[in-house]
Amino acid sequence: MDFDKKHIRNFCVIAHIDHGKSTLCDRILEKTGAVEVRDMQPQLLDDMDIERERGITVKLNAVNVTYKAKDGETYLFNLIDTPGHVDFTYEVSRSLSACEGALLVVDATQGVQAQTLANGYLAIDNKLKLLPVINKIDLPSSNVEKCQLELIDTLQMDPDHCVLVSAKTGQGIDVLLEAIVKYLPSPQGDETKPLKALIFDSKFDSYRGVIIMIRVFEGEVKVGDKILFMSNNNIYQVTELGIRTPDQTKVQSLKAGEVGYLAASIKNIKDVSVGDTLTLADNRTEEPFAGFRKTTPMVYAGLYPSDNKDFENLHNALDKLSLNDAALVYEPETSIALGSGFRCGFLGLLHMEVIQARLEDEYDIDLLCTAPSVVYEVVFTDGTRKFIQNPADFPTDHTKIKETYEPYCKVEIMTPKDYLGNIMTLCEKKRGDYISLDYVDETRVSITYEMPLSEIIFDFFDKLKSVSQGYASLDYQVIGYRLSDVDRMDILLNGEKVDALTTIIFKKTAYGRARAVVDTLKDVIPRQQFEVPVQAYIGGKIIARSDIKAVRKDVLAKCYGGDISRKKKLLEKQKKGKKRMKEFGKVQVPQEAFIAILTVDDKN
Amino acid sequence: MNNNINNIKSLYLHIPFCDNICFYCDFPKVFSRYFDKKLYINKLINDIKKLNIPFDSLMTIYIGGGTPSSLSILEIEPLLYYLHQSFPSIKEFSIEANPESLTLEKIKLYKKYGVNRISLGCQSSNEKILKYLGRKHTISDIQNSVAMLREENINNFNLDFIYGIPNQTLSDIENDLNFALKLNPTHLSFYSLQIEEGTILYNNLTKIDNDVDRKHYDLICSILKKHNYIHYEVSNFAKKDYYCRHNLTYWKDEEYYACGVGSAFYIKNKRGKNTLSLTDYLNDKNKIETEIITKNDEEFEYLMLNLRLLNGFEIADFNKRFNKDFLNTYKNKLSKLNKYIVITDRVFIKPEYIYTMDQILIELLP
Repeated sequence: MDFDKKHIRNFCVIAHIDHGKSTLCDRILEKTGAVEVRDMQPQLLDDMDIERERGITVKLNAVNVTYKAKDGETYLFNLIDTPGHVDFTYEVSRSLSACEGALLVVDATQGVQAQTLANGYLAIDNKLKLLPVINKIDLPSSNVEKCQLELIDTLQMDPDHCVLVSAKTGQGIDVLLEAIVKYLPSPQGDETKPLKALIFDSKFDSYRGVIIMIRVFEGEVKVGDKILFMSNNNIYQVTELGIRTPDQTKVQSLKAGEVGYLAASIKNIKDVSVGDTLTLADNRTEEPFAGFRKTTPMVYAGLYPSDNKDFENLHNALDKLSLNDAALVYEPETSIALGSGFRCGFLGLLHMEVIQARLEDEYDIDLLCTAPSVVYEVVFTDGTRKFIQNPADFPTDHTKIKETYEPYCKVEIMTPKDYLGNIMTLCEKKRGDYISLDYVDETRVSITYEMPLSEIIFDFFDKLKSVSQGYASLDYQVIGYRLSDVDRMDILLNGEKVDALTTIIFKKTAYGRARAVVDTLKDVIPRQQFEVPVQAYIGGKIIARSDIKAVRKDVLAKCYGGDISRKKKLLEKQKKGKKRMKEFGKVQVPQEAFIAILTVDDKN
Repeated sequence: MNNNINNIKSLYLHIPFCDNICFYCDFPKVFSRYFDKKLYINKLINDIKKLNIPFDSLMTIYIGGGTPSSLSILEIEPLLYYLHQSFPSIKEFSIEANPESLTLEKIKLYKKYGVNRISLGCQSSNEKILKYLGRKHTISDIQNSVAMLREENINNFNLDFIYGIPNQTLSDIENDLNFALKLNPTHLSFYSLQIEEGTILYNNLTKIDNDVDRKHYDLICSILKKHNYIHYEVSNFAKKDYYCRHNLTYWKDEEYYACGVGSAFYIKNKRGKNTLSLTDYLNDKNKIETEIITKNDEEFEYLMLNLRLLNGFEIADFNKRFNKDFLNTYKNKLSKLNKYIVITDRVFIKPEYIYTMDQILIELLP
């Protein structure tokens, strides 16, 4: 298979979450014959169980297919599916840098949404040619014209170039394939120059070592070549090159304009950094790529094995997961209450849930996850500064604190204007500072707020959906730290401080928060054999208390011959449930407690 | 476990027929008028025969339901006759009865064939509550039934009551206790109302308050104690020497036979359950579900059941049966539970924690 650059199209598929990217990719694979219809399964490019289970894409996925166009020529498409959730924006930006074009998918029933714009602008910034694709046109509630108008208003897209498809039924896919050939540019780049390739993804394979996804911009790389990573000057010999069709197919070389994978017996994933430039050791390119901004985790939480014996297993599992997930960071920490575990950094709550689910499903580790927190900054009276990833590390001695800072973000919400009032109320409640309001068209508005990251990472998205009946969409990006008056709130169970339940709270609303948290804990923690006081403690004082009454009845009143097997099963189930709880002093606390305290509504 | 089948001492027989279905009942039962009861009794006798029970091995028989007393004399006599003929070694022979269907003739018949213990379903001494539960008898039916038992000199009888009923007050419970004590039974069972799936109360979305339930329970325990009833199992009280031997078979985790629709047995290392379908049973299509009880299961069940007894179990008995040292095996768990459990040569849960014993079991069980 040898294609000149004119016959190559490198493009990715971007969209707001749930607008049908992965289904569209499925159809393209099917139509180009890359996959036999009988081998087809939904979300074919999503490799992970959790992706298929939840119908989301977490990692970018690249695949090469060939297409025989109406002009009689055969083209090579390098197609990259990207995640839609805002947590995984960094995956999208990496995909973009490997392409010349992007299909911008818009759900015809939903119209342009916050991440349609965010991803669209990102693509324009990367100098990609956008091909708008209006999807789900088979649905009765679709409104193609409205979508087209929105695309003109927001991204200045030419409505004549919009391709109308239904990824579900396959309608319009033929037109789309032709449009890809016609409107998306072919790659540039000189094959005769020294090799210059961009690493845009990597993953670990236990047989071949690290597998790197590359886009070759200049020159050529062949099996046997000595390659050099320009960031660390490490040299390796290429053992395998290939493309995904979507199965891996070996090739002898990859040339300027092409996308493929590379293996070079690289043992440690840490030796490869995504965004790095690859060149030949004895024929180097002069200028490396600018590289990607390193992803910084936004949310930290403690992950502890329910059974302390699993600590090493958890360590190994995190090592393995991080091989394919550069955004996951972790370091060991010890909690008085929970024993040994890890403080892990995530991109957002979905990312956290995904990691948690993978650790439990793929590695069979029962986990206990502490309340997630953003990273605060404390400035001490002596001028020193400290970033606080774990609320339990927040200083208890207030006389030493000069100022505290918390991360803020710019939040963009698109919504039908009917919900504007609700949404603004919600944003004010979440300490948002109003910035601007723009009409997208006569019915929809885009509102911008700046608000603390801590207020949006937990349940803001859910709340936003519920106050807008699901219509509002959200995009946010962190803009920096701001002065903010925060303090630590400790929780005492049965008189003992539980470090894993410590949170950092905004002082002005501390009382309402404390009340809400102790009441929630009272409801979430099951009754024990004795009464358990739950107390919230801020700045040296107990400011709220709620009591968990002792359990009064927990017995099967009747137990005769026929009840024994049933009774045994019930007890075994209860025992399993109990195993998932953690014991503090003598109090059993279920996993939900750690998350529940974050999603409470402050009481007045 | 002693695997010698000759050592099985108890036989349970299930009579699934009722004239009326109570709103809380989740036992296998059917409206009696739709089925051929004589045929059922024949099948039942056949099934017992198939067990080849050695004639002198059985100590207890318990005929439960359903409502065994709903069967007419003609219907039940063949069964009683057969049992009486076949198992002369029976020490305790119980039958369940409801006040509305128990008659002097039936009592005489029961007595004739060796029945020496009656368990009478009273449930409440409050007419309104009886209605709420869907019972079809009155308070005076209960009193009449007891009078008839006394007349026939059957003085060993149990009365069943239910507490923890929505809107039931502590003084309702007191009335029940006074009512029961006046009848001077040898044995009393007080069951907290359980809302089980498939019952009428469940379908009415009835809710139970565990805190109130506990108050009822504490009152029952304290008053019965005052009147010299021994609280020997979670829900059971008896005068000295009148514990229900048949039911002790279950709680001591011993083996038992069972015949009839939906009845459960424990033979060798198998627990099993006869079909729940009366139609299948009558058509000789008794599908028996069985489960193998491993040594681990057995230990689990032994503890789960024996600890229901207020005097628990003998450590030596455990050690012999499982061929290991209880105290040593459970050392760590026991040290966490010392507030709730007493250890002498026996192991038992403190009475004040018996009503939350599942909390303890979850910690203790292997």
